[in-house]
Amino acid sequence: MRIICETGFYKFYPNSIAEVKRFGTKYGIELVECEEYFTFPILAALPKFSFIGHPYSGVILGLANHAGKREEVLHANGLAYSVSLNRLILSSTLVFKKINYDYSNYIVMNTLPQAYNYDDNGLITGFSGFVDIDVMKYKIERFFYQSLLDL
Amino acid sequence: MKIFDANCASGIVLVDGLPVVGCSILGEGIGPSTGYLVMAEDNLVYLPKTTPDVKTLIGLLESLCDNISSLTVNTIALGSPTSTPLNSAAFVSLKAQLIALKNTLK
Repeated sequence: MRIICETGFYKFYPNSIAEVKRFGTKYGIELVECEEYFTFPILAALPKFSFIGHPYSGVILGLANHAGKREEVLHANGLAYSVSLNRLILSSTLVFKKINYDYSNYIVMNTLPQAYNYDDNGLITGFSGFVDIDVMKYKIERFFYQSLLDL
Repeated sequence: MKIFDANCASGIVLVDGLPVVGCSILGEGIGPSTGYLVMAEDNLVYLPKTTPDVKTLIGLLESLCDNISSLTVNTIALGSPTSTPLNSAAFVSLKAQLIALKNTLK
């Protein structure tokens, strides 16, 4: 199942609905359909706009006026999905953790990479890759980077 | 781009009763109004409905026509001192046109 993460917004593209079910069974992670992809329920529930000071997601108030795609609005508000906490947090609070991995044909990881962690090349805002459900490995083809100054 | 129902009072635009920060108002924004907020990426503009103002203006003109057409004229010339102006029919016609305009505002 292909995975694309853009600025802290995770999208899953299964070959069949069975992959989503197998992924949920093996990892204990629920994915829901959202437009042409699957994602975490909290991300699927995000509105496509936000106003400064208006409710945005749950108790979180919007930090920016923005309309666009869910991932764009999430990014405009300086938020990202936390894989470990299963909730939205300020992306600036994620930048202090380094991602360690070995590199061969792919970057192989046991856990879903967290956007806004960093590696030796800089701040990771997202990635493209896929999950091999049979062996329960995330195989990352490439990371996307961003300058800290652009946060 | 998203469009929201909005209203404005004292230059403050509200959506769902909450103030919108950093919004341009396409109009004077002085009096209270209802309208639409257009949001494109991080650009915001409030478009007030202007027809209520036009309707009010037409209503005032109607009243003006009424007052003029029923105006009594003090005169020592022909006719009664309380007679209406000879051209009052023109104002009645004008008022009819104003009402037609108000009822067909675009």
